[in-house]
Amino acid sequence: MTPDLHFLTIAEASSLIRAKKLSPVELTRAYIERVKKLDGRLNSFILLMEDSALAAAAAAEAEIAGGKYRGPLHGIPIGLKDIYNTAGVATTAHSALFKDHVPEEDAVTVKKLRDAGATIIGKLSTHEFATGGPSFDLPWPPARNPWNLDHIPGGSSSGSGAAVAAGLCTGAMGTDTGGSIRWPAAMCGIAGHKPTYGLVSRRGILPLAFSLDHGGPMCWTAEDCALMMQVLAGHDPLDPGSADVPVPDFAAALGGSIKGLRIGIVRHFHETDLPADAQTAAAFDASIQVLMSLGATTHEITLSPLQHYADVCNLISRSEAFAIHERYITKTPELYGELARHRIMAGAFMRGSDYVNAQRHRARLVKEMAKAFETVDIVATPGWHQAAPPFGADAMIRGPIMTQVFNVTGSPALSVCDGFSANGLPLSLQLAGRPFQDAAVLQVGDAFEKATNYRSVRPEFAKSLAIAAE
Amino acid sequence: MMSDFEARMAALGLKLPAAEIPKLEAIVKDLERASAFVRSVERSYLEEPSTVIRLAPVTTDTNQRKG
Repeated sequence: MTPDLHFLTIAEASSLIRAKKLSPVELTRAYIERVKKLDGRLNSFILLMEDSALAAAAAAEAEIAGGKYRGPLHGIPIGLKDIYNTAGVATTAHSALFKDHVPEEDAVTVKKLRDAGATIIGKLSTHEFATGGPSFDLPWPPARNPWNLDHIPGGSSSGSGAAVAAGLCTGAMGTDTGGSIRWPAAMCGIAGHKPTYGLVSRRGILPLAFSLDHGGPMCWTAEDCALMMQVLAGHDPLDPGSADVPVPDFAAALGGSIKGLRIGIVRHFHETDLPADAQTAAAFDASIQVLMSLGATTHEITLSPLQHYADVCNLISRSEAFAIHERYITKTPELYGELARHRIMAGAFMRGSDYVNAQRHRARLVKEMAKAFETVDIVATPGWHQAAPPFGADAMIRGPIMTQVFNVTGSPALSVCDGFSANGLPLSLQLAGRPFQDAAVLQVGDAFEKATNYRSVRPEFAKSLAIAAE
Repeated sequence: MMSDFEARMAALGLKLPAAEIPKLEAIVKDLERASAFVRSVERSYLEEPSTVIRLAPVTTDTNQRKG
């Protein structure tokens, strides 16, 4: 076992496992040891599922030895944000309210991962109920950013971002209602894909806001996200938001030329609506140059101001969240952390007509986005307007953010690392596409990653602690 | 003496420690500004929200026999 084994991508590890050069048990055991050594400072795991993970890895190993190879996730350790229901295993939402909540069934996506042979290695930290964080008044501490432990990892899929970046699992599941896959992906320097609304089942994931929630993969690379999407995507007739559409071959779409691809630049998003800091803006401009060097063309486009997306997203998400939590938060508010308590309670003050008018405006924004995608193939923005701030500097997001746009429109959107700040924290690029053209978005992300060298750099935190541990 | 905001909270069945009330009030003010925005937008009487349900036809044995 070499330290570098922890940093294998899914594509690399699965190639070795398929060739029987890497044992799933050895790989899983290595991650378990690493979590035990390193996570005491990172706090990315709520529960390490050591026994069941090793049993699943042993089963995978036996199957593969017997000639039954299920595909690229067979024997691969995957972590779950702790709002994915797991049969017989607590699903806490990082909350005292649900600390003893043990579901009877797996979420549909968890079952799909298990059926594909993945090893579920543990349940990962989240902002409480995917909304309030980072918080220090919950039963478990908040995850930290492996690039600098004094900085936030983003959220709400905070443990997923931190664990993947630190090499504590090969891939992870996150959820995204306003950016909760892409924000931690951006802060932790990994790839995070929010699928098209309806492409991945939400059944069995604890909801925050039904009409904005998405489940999706968080991995070191866009290629790995594509491999996970192959397993995760598919119609679920029991999820009312699920779309009955064909599932593409995500991996087959990778590696092709992006020559002639038309990229829409929404310059007002990061120049006036939410001014990005100088390093973020420079990294974004450099990223567009990289895509142009691969044959893409750029086109300036104008959309509604970011604040309009934020207003619609916040009105809908707060109203839907309060509808879900009313019976609990009015009876036992003390079982919520302060941040979640405030965010959820705020929805009580909204009028029904405001919710409906937000949904009416949302339809207008969806139509506007569809019109924009008549002239471009991909929309590119910075993934976040700055690198990860330190804890305490920006605990509550109250202004608009780049990611909410594509929750409102339901478009597929991917965050990839596009450089580093002067103090060594990751910067990010967001790529969005037409509905159900997730494969095209992942293709562009993969092409970008392979044209740059940002995937060769891992957090010093993980390196230094791993060396110290040995 | 209860403030107007505290009275609204009480009417909604919400309870918070006194020190937390200004933080909730700030978030509510943000949402009220967002509400004012969606109310202010000119729109057709006919404009539909994005939450209409979409039903799929169901094929029953009876329908199949008729077909």
